[in-house]
Amino acid sequence: MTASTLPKTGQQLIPADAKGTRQKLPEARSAGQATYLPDRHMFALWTWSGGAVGAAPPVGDVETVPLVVPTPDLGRLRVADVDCVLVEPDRLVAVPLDSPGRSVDAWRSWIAGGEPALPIAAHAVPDATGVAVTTAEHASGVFRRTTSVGAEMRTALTAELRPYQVRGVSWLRETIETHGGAVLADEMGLGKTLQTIGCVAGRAEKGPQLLVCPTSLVGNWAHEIARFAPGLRAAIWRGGPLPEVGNGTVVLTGYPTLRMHGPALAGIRWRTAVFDEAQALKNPRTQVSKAARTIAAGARIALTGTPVENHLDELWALLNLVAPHLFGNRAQFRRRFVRPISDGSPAASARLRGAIEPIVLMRKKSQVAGSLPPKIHADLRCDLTEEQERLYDRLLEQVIDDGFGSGTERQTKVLAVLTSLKQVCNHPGLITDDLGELSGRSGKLDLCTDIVASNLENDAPTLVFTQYRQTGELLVRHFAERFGVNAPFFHGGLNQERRADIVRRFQSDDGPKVLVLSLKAGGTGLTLTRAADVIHFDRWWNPAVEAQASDRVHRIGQTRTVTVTTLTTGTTVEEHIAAMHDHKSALSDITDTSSVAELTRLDDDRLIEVLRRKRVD
Amino acid sequence: MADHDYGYTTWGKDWVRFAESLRQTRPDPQLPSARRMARDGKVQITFDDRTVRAVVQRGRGTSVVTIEVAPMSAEATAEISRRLSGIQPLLTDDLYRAVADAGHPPAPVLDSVDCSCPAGTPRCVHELAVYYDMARRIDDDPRIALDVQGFFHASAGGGQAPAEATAQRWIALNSLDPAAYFTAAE
Ligand SMILES: [Zn+2]
Repeated sequence: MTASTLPKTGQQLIPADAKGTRQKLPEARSAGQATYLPDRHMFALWTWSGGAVGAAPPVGDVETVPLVVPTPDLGRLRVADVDCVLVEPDRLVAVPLDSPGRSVDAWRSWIAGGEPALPIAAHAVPDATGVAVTTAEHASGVFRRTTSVGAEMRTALTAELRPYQVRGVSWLRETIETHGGAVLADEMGLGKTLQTIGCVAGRAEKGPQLLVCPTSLVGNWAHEIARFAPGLRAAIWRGGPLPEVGNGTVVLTGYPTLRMHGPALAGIRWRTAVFDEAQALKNPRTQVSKAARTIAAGARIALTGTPVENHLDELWALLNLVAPHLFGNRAQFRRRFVRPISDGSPAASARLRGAIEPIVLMRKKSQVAGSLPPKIHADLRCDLTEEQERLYDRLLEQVIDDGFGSGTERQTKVLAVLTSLKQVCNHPGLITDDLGELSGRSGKLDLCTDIVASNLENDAPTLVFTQYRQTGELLVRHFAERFGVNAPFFHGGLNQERRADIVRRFQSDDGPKVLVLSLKAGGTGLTLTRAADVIHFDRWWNPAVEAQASDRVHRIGQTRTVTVTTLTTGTTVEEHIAAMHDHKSALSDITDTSSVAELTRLDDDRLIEVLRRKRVD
Repeated sequence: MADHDYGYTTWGKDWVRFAESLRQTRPDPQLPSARRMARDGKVQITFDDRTVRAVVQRGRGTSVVTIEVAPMSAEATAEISRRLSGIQPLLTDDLYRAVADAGHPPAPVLDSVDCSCPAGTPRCVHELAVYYDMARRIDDDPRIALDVQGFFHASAGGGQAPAEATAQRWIALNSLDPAAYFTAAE
């Protein structure tokens, strides 16, 4: 440790013009450095050697991070792109570094509970426009608060948060306290839901909270809240009299309900109002946006997974919703940011990032890759539309009236009814043959469409698997109508040559952005690593089959974090199938037919119980 | 006649004033073509510390304008650095006004202006075009207004971070002492 031998230079300030008189700092010769990144709750490890930034220490994947560093003569500070390896706090303690500098020692001491002074290197994160540096007080304050939120979350939630997610919770708290509102715009797959639940759980004792989301996601929120924060009471509201609200209650509702029944919510002083997929409020003149603004809430949180910087009018609407005192004037926002940015000004983009930085947190998977497992699983619950509910119940009643029979007949009938019910979940038109307008009729299709839209925005190619040929064709048609993309369909009916051609085209850089595959034909053997996003549109009994299909993208050659999303329709037999996964994941040799055979063996009452919708609320 | 496409920020406005001086009783007839030249990309500016060098094209001819900007006063530098440290380090119009109200207007002072053309008028159209182009650039990126006055090269009293800076989010780059980079100040 060389710091103690350093002459005291704190008070002597030599202006930059007096070059050459400054003595070289002994510390500066060659040392490993650790800079705390407050947004990610991670440390950037890098080296300084021979008066310049050196190679990143050989302890992980290298990422470039803009940091404030000295000029070679050590006379000034400037912003430079620095090769770093990012590590979580737990890892900083033990990671082997050659000649760790004062910044490393200081942070290790903070992790151990000490509070030593931090050199600039320890908090050298620049602001968006490059005129200022994170203060030592801010860096250490965020570190301390986030560490304590992490400890709190371990008891408040049943899930373990990753460090950047703990920071998400502590950031939401700080931002709400300071500005009254916040926009969490993390890339999809980083766990906005979990972070929000963490924040909401911490505010539960001080009043009722409201969460508005697309109708197809209401069930998913209820499911996630029950799973991760069993102490909260989630109450779904679809209009009519409000459920009883008190401390610990989270009222969940869809945007259409807010639009039509908004006044019913106005009489209550909400502790927090959360708007999920808040791009639904992008147009401030719509009824639903007006209804959202009339909600009286102590804090407003908007969640969005679309890259907000690409949609500036939408961004303004969200900023105006959560922090109208900071972003009130749309014309000024347009003139200051929208116009110069559309003219291609990088300075205006930087100014915008600086202006929204206090209330917008947006992190990309690539930025927190060191905190992510190679594969993220997102199991989403979607809701049935009324059309689906009616059809589902009608089909089942009919089968019950006809009876299931016995022996082989029973097996055939069970398989047939399973298939029809699963098709209702995919899209009611698959049963009724009314396949005119597809949108708005299947909660699952609508949710899948939102995910694909977001992936298209992020230039993230997507694989969509289904077991059914007809569903695959419906998806291809829908993606063409909605996004104008030409998604190929890889299925068993194609000859070898056509199949090889689809794979080759998909793997090329300008290949199709979406590929639909049948689970049976596309589930094995192929390499489709251009995609890092997989959606399972319907559920299969055997988790090994789904995993094998997901591995089309998670193979050698894949450099990004893979996101696997499964869509399960809540209250239906699909939930039963999903539940089977938990029992089976260890027993991958169980064949699919045996699951159906198992159902066949149940008596009629028990079988109907499995197939029938489980009514909620 | 005011063309608000130039100088819609207070920082850029200072440079529009060089062209459209408040003391002038009637508008200079060269102004519309100077604005057009700036808008049409006829002005190519390079910076060298506090020297602005611009190659200006008009018709087939090319002129070189050289402007020397005086260094910003130490008081104004310190005042801006202090205000850049805080919740949000943005060079807004509000920050400009606050600095001016504190008695240290950050408006630039020109040491010298020179053009290579043979024009006999006191101010040539090339010079005016450069003022507009500077205003346009500064509206887009107000840091240029400071940079051209040597702000980022001067240090505003590093090492002695103001006491009120505690628990602040940001601190201005040039109010830090590079000597404390690797070793915390005691
Ligand atoms: Zn001239």
